[in-house]
Amino acid sequence: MKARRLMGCCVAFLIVTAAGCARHFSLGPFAQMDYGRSIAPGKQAFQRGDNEKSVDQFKKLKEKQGINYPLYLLFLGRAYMASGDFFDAQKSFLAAEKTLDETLTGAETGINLVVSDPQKIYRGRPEDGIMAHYSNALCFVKDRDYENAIIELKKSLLADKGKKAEQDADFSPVHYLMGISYGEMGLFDDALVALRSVTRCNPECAYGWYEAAKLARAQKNEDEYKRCIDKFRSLCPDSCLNSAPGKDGREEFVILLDCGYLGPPLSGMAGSFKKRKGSYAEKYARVYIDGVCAGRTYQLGDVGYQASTAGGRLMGKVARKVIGTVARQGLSLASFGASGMLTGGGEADMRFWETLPGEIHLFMGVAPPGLHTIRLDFFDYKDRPLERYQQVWHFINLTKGEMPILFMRSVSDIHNQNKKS
Amino acid sequence: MKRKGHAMRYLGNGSALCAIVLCAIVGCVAPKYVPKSMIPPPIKYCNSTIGHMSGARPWILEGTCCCTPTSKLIEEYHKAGLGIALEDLIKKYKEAGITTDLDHKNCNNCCDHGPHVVKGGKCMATPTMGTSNFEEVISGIFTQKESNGKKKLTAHRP
Repeated sequence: MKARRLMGCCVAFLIVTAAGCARHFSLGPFAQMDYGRSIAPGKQAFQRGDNEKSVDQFKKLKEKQGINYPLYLLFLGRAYMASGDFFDAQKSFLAAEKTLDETLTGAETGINLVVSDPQKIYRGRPEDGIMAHYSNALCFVKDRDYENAIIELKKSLLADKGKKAEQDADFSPVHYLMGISYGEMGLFDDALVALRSVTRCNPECAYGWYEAAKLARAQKNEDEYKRCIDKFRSLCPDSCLNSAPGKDGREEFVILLDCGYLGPPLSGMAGSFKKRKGSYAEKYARVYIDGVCAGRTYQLGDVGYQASTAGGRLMGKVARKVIGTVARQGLSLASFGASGMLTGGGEADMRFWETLPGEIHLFMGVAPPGLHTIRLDFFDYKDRPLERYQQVWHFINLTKGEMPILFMRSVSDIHNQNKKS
Repeated sequence: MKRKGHAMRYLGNGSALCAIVLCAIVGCVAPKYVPKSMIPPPIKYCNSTIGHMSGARPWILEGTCCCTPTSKLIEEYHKAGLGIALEDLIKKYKEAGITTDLDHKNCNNCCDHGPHVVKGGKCMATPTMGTSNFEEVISGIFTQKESNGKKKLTAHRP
């Protein structure tokens, strides 16, 4: 009888404790709101093109640390990158990668078990790993440190690749940078393999074919060169590269252009069941060198698609079949047991790297050595010009034997002279 | 009939008011678009990305050359009649607390030593091409901004 009473007391005590915990941690919606409020100034500054303010805001958040620390590092890294500070961007991305790779301590795991999703320590979404390594590689490429760039790009491919043998990493920007890096290192075979991956994953990206043609010519593989250059010309008839396949003393340059923003996750789970699409107007940009049209940008990678796939397969297709019925029931039961009882309802975790682009575009141009002015005119999905997105950059210097890679992103009103006055 | 006329008038007034309010809001939200000029401003300060301007003296010697000190640059100085050794030039920059590409790179003058010397800071690392800072540092034309509570200085030397 005594034992039963003791047992009853213990159970009651546990329920009360759990309820106490639940009250303490069941601030799910408020946590989400607090998080949204905290990142809003930095995010808005970033979207306005005020990189300096964005860096300041995310720096402050980073100093606070907390459960969203890896996310703040990613935000900060991207803000640094947008402001042209690749040195600090690299430090931020490396710290973010390290934090995301760290295994949680016992106490942290315990907390993650009892709290609702938005209050869990942020462990990264699939796209975070891919994009953090890719961005880091871009910093290395900027620094002409191609060996380390290759290491980061390989990590990015691993993060993208699914676990099944037949699945393959299909994020073209990574393959493209790999091709460039191998080419600069003189490893032409590896470069050609990487660039073939670009044309395989994204056959509509004309510049992938152009790069492959260049390499084929360097290897004196005339058949391959003809095949690739013909494909390039058919895709991109108005490019300035068409008139100068042999370059005739002119120098090439590359623009990696980030367009739009990644859409929010469609579910709280790590893998969404549909492609994530951000709402943005810009579809492509036309590039003018010293006032003369030099061609247009082509989509190199779709970040929204990557965020919803593993190894080139929509997670939903895999996940729906395998875990669709069984796991969902199991998850609902588990969430009822873990979140439902303790935290009073499982709320979806909507935290994600909100400053990521929706798409990555590529442009390759050629011009005589010297200083040039480059203008980017943006167009929407109906080919209508987006006047306010226009960008003009002066003093773009092309020197012999160097192919500068310019990192740009689409921002409305960034060059509106009226705004400044 | 009279009532209908009144109603129409009120409706008309309401619409006009709405249109005025809407125009005011649109006017406030979207400033008129004035595109940036395609004509670049004149180059005032040279750096390692755009190349050395012949005749420009080093920044540390009251000049307009912000190029990273290298033996090639010293040759250019010698050609222009400025006799200075590479070690001496580097030493002068170090003594003044100015950092160059020899110390760190790719910071776009956003580092702790920043902003760029042209803007009154202590960083002379070559700015990143295709950024506003890059254009401002070359042209010497920039707006005064405040960041981190510190007031940045405007270009202070011809």
